[in-house]
Amino acid sequence: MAFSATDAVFEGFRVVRRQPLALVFWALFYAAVMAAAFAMIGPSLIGFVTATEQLEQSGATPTMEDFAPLFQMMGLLFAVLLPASLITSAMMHAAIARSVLRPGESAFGYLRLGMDEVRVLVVSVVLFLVFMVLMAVSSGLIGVAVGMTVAAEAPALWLLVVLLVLATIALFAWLFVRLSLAIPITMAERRIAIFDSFGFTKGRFWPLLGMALLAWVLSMVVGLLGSLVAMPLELATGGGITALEGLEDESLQVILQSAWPAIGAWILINAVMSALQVAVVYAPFAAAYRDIKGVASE
Amino acid sequence: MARFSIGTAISEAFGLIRRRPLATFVWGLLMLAPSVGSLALILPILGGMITAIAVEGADPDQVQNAMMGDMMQMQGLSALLNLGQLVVTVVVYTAVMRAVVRPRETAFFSLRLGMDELRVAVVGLALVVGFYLLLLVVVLLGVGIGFATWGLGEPYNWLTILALCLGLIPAIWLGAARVSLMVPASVLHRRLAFEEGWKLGRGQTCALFGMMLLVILIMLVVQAVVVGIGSAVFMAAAGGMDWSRIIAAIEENPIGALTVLFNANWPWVTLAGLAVSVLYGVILTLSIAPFASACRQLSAEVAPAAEEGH
Repeated sequence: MAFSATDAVFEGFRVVRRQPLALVFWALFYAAVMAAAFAMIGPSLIGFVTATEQLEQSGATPTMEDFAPLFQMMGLLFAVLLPASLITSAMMHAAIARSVLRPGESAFGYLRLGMDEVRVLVVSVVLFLVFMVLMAVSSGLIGVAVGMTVAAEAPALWLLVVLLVLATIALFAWLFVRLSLAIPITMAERRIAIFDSFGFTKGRFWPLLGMALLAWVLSMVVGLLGSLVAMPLELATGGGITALEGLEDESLQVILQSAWPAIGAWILINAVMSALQVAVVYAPFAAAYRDIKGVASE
Repeated sequence: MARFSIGTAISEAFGLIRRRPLATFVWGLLMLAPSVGSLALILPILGGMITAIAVEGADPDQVQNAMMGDMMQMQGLSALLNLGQLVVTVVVYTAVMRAVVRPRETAFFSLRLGMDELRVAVVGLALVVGFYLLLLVVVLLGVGIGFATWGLGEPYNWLTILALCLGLIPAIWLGAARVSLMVPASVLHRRLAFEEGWKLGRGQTCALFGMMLLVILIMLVVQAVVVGIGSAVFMAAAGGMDWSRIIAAIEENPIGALTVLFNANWPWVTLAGLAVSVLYGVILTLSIAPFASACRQLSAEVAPAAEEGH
């Protein structure tokens, strides 16, 4: 099957239509992760939100000392959230790629925790680091260009600064597209294959960029339609996560007793929506690899 | 090169209104319903809030707490209605295009909720996102050029800004005309027809732009005529009313007075709503159907040519 961006972009919907149970598993997986995360960091999260609001409402210009407890809370939240979200993402990305490349392995909604997931985790971390380093370098270059333009008092140089910013955005878009098949290749070939993506995406930049943008737009549409269902549910159960306001000093048990319908509805809605949106965004890349390579699904 | 007739495209829009007046009315009514719904739901909440503020001697903290609750409720409802409006817009726009490109599918006023609608939503949203991305690039370039030329002093800096604006506005319109066949092509070809829409629009930008201007002019004339007739009817019907009492009541509590006014005159309000629905439906059809027609005409010319080529 030849690669067509507008066909591949619907792969997330095709996966769900082929295996509706997969969506149920993914939503349950997300719900379990969210519930576990809430149990671990719920009170700290509520405390963080309340402290931020209090700082905002105080009206005074905040000092670094005012921010210190916020940073401390944020550090604690990230210490728990970052590893959990990395592992969760790796499992979900692997499951979605598996659902496209090996549709026969449908047990547990394609979710596993094995070597595939470890490889996807490694690839994700490496890509994240590559983009972070590039971000730091390009920000530094733009900063130097701005500094030189100000120091030289040459307004004409601002045009060059703007062109530099646009070139940086273009470079990131190009790199994102050229590396976008790294996870599907890693899954399909059962080995860490980060830069093989360059070979597969050669000469297909524009269709793949279009596909990525369309996948993002599709996930927006899914989000909007989901909100139509979610909003009445949230309003009926106490205004969503805002129902937690004022419970920051309470124990987890009290929080759950007071606001369980709101928390439950929020977790359920977000679990289903996240599962569907992630499938809609990531499945097209696996389909693109499958169609470019011309491999039949196992 | 394939060509389309602007006259045929516009007369097809009028033909659609003439052939399917009930469908045109239903499309307008559907587009109007979320706005009326939001008025009906939000007016009483707003009225309650204004009344609560006006109560003398009320505890300000209590009033503030009650208002916060009402505001949250109103924001939630308003967001929900906005989303509903978006969905209705996609469904109705697709129905108008379907009525032109697949005229036999007349059941339920050509209204559906399926893959066509999803494709129209995706293509429409993609065009909006693309437009804003392009605008961001253009604005950044404009800022760069502005900084670069500001040092030239007056009048050159102002002339540069004027030239940029004069260049940008027609460019946006021409760009919109260039991509205007992507959405109808997606309904016609039952796929995300970015490529087909782009190819169909090749060499047609000026004709599509001209049709766009003509459609706007026709819509303005239709609106002017209908608003003129509506105003005349309103003046004749409501000329003898004691407006000073109504204005005084509105000044005292605008939302409450308007609610009472609507409730007291609901048959007239309903009638006006139906008339506005007809107008809305006509305008909607006139603005969408010509592009769907142009797309169909061009596709019909391209398809036989391609077959001959084989």
